[in-house]
Amino acid sequence: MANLAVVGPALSKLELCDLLLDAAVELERSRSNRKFSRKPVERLASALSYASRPFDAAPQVGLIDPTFYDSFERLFRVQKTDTLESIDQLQAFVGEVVNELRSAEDGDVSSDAAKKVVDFCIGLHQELTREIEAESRFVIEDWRTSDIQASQGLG
Amino acid sequence: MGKKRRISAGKEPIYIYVSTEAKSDFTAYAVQYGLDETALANLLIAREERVGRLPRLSKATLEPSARTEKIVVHLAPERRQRFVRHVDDLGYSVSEAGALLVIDELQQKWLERCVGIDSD
Repeated sequence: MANLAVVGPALSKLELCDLLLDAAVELERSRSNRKFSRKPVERLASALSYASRPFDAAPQVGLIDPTFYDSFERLFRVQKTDTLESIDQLQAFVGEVVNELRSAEDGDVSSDAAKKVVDFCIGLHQELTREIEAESRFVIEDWRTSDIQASQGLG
Repeated sequence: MGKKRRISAGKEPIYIYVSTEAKSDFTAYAVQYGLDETALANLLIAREERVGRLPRLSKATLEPSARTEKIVVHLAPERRQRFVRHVDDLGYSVSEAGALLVIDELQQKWLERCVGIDSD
């Protein structure tokens, strides 16, 4: 399971992916009336809540963590099939999921609501995975392991 | 020239090799749910960590000579390490374990039950 300590400003796309997958698996278990762990659900709720929190310096201003903005926006378009006109819509979209996750933590979520959240988790994970895949195509020259570094003073 | 290295050191992807037919079926299956094969493979590995199906699966379902198609999986470093340790303990390579999960999912259709119920 992803570590609670990572839920905060430094959360990476891979770490959020982990939280989404863990929560999706647990919520699916809850829908199937199997024993499930609330921890991953709680961690995801905290992470999403942080990623869509009000701007610290001006609480009236909405903020979506720039690391995840594009993924949230694409998922909004897919799942809401709506035009995104303001960041408030995006915050509300994520906020709905956070509320359902909080209800699930308390064991108080319907199968339909849990399914909506599982769909959100799997959909957002897909969007993040596409970005990670695209970013992973970048390569750099690693001179530290170069055979010629000693002779050319590049060490 | 220096050796090429991915920027995200420590976050190297996992490669799962499967047969052409399995790759094609897996991709088509994933697409039904708006996923690509990478996202679905990630999900299967997360589920494996939770429910541990691998010990119950038979390695005999793999055909080494026919596994030529690649599925790329991106995992957070900690989960990657846990998965590598898990499959190592079972005597599998990462690619073999991943291929078993892929083939098992094509037979069991967990995702279909997970997100497919009421999808219409």
